[in-house]
Amino acid sequence: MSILVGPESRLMCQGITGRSGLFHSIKSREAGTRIVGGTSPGKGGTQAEGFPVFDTAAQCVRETGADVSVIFVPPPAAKSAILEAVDAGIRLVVVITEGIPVLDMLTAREYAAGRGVLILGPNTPGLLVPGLFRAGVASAGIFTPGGTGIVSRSGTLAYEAVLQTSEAGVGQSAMAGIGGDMVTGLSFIDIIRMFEADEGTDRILMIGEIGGSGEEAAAEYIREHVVKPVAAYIAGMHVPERKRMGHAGAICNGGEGSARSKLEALEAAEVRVIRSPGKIGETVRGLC
Amino acid sequence: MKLSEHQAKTILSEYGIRTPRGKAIYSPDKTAGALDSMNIKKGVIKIPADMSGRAAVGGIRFFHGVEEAVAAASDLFQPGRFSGGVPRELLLEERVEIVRELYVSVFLDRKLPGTALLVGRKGGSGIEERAAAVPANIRSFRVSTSGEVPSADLKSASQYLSPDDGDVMARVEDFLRSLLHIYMERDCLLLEVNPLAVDGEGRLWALDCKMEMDDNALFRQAGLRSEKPPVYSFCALGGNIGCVVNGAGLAMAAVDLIHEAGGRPANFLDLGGAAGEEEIERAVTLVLGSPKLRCLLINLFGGILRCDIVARVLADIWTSRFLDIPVVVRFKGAGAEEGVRLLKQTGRAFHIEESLTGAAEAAVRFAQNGSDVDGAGEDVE
Repeated sequence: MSILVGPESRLMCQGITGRSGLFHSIKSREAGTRIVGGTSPGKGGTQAEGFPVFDTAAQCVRETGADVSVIFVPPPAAKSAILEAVDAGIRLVVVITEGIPVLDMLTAREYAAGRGVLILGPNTPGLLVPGLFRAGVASAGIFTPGGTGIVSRSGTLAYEAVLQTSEAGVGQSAMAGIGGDMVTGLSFIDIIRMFEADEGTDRILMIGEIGGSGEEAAAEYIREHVVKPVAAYIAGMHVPERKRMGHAGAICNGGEGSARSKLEALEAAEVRVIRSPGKIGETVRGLC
Repeated sequence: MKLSEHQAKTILSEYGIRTPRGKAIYSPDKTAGALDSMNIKKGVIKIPADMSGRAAVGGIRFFHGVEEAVAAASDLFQPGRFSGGVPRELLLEERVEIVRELYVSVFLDRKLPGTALLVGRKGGSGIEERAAAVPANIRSFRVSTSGEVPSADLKSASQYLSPDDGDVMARVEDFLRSLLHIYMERDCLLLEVNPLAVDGEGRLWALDCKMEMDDNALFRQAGLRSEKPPVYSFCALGGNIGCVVNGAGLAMAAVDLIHEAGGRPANFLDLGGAAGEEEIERAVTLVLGSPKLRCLLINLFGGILRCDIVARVLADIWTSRFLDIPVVVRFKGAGAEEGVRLLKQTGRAFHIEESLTGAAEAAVRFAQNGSDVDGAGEDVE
């Protein structure tokens, strides 16, 4: 059991002949993912490392039955790749690309929502369900099957959380990166709702950071709807407010959006707040 | 990317929005020439808007005649005059006689998420306080993903802003359309005109403008391509433990970690995923330039950016320059083993740590006890 995908899921890769797309498609296959092919306009009809390549998402879906897509396409082409996936009947689009314009993502979100299609990302390491499914760039080797559902804005900090929970003996049911951008597809609330409903998840770990109000909104949702134990680490407690720090998303706007406001909201929702990033694993182990 | 007030107003005027004639100057001796070229006698001279609360600290000065302007400029450029440092430029503008100040902004509301249009009848400084005190003073409208506001809403907004004057109302409506158009065409995250001023003849002036553009869209904003920021992201924090990390979340976590361990970070640095060796070297050099540096902490979780690439840059730097500050290294993920091997090969004392907590505690120890060049007793693997 898992969130977003199951044993029947078939993954396709948009941008499969690019260096990153091909490398990670191979890695996904090695990790046990059913990855059935991909697209690269103009290279349809060829093969890349044993993967059939198609010109369009529609052709790929028709020939392979793909229902999930992972996008490794540069920023200027990303919006049209997402729209193409939606039109082709894909139900979950995992957008790895970093650097997609905000206005493009607003359009893509609206288009996908209109067809009931889910977007994970952009600017995300993707989705990894240990032993079952890997869409993105996370290293499968640090994961162990277990009960911790991890949802994160950050990439490398999510890997750190995975490593620590593996070392602490708790393992992961899934890691879902909602991404570091200001406008994302699935939100903290969306993924937490899925973890709450997932039989294979017994505890939830949120990795947040300064900027925006996603963690505050999630705190309210958790207070009303979540029974499973939740821990959270919010990066940026000690960075000055109103500074731009890397992710375009981590912009502080006054009271809301600060690490402090997020921590207060989460504590009020009885979420176990982790103060030091070195203590993520042991805190999650201690949840239940 | 935040534009200066002058850059923002220049863009507004390209779209036919009225702005005061103005010029940016970079030293007081340029004042007279600038005024002369614009044929301005009476005007205002301002420090950059991001030197916050500029009105309150005397950063906006009115002048009448060249002498007053030069005196004001000399004063404003004075080192130590402002706590934020010497202004990088001053904006010299003609003075416009106005009768009313309105507030208009178009911005990304992350909560929706979507673009929103905000309008207020009482613009000018103090707008935030007024809005907090009486929220009904500000009206907000949704903007579609294609940049449109329904006609009825635009009329409602214009009427709200100028209920007593039909001519001004019509101009406000045109102005709102133009602003929305600019916002979309220029890939803005924020486009704020405060105040949008009305003069004695009912004409509209953008007396101030804050424009922030989406960094992710710079590739399609032709005029600004040359201003693309570097891949890495750096911010000085004033302490004595330098940080080099990949990924913004992990980089902020490193700063938090050092604080929790009782230390003071010198900086935040996110190398970014796509940094090449040159950019990595530039970023590390930036960190090494921190004035009080006593220790360096390198915390990498290799993914897109591999540990061994960074290790190679570090090895080059350490073998080509004389550097005696202790370095704590924690490598995980792609290239970690190779990275450690490369560092050991240099023969220099890089202190390798396994855990985040261990790395932070070691860094804090070094920063407190001073340099440990011989590696005596502190190497942990």
